Amino acid sequence: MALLSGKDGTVRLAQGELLRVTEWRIEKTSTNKSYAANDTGGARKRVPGVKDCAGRLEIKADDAAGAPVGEGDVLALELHADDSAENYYELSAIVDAVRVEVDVGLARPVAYVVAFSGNGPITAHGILDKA
Amino acid sequence: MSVPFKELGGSPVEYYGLEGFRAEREFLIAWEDREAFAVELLGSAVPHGASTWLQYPGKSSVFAVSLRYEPFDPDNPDPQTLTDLTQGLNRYGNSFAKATVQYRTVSPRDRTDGPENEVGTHLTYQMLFAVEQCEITPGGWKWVDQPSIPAPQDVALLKTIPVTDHQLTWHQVVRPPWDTIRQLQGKANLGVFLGCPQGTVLFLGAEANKLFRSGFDAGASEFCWQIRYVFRERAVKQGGHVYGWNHFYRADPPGWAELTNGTDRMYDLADLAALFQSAP
Repeated sequence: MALLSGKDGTVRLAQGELLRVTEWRIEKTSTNKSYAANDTGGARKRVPGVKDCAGRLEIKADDAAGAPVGEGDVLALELHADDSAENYYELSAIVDAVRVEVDVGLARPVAYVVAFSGNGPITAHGILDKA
Repeated sequence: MSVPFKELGGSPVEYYGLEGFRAEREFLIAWEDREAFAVELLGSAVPHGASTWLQYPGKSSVFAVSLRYEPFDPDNPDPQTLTDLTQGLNRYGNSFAKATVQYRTVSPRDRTDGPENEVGTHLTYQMLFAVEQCEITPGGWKWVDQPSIPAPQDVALLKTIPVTDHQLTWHQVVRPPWDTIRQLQGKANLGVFLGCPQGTVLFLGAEANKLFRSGFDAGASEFCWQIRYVFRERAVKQGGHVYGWNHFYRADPPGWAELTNGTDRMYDLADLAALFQSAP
């Protein structure tokens, strides 16, 4: 399991649109299958399982635009850890939920929190790639 | 060389019941070893004769009789492109195949007074019954209470003759004796057969069922046969005597007698045990 988050990074959609992201995080998982058998020494052993990922984006609301993504949208995401354009994850994801946060004093949305799940393999670049 | 395997925790599960002992075991093996493991467990009808099913540890009459494979982790097939249904198949090279093996008690020979089973085969037995009606001519029959009055000559006397069907099923036969079956069908037993006196058991015929033994990988599949022989015992018991298939009722003098036509009989006699010897 790897839990990585990027603060002050950026998120780029397939169209090249740069979202005003304040934070993103992603968790990469492997659903490993465990077993106990005659040769496992009284303990459980595991075989590597199918890989998956899920994550979250926090996007600052733009006064002039609505929510940038909707639930169920399939996104081609680039999650950048910095502004070097070299250290990022590239993946297809599907939006599971969009949480809208409204400041009633300002009378408008101030942020969107987007929860997503992976939709295929994930590619890591730069410092995010496995050494 | 044996296929490497792991026996999973939770295995075996054993049952003791009216069907005898049976069990189920679960193993993990490499995905590509499925074929070899099946042959090892269930045997192979190789040209030199069948190898027997693998027995259950510690129980000489319990054998592996069926095997089921499934991916141990069905969510994790190897990435590959499948474009042809006849050539492509999911693989699970990063995981295991889970094998579930069923074991059953198999008696090599149900009737010890019956024919011998060849090595690697076994014989099961089932008994059924049926009823035949035989018309008896009234000549010679009189009433017990009034012996001077004969039985009516225009009334047929029906005698009910119970018959017994002996069904012997011969399992795991690689080379059935087809010629012997053809030659013996319709013949009665020479000598005692299944405890029945000579001439009382008629070989009615055989049903053959082809069973696949193991793989489907190379050319024609290997298989063996399950042959069910049906014998009908007809033993008319009258006056302290037993009359078989070659006996018929005679009106004058009344009674059961054997018919011949020269040296021929209605039913030829033969050694029925020859049915249980594989073809060379």
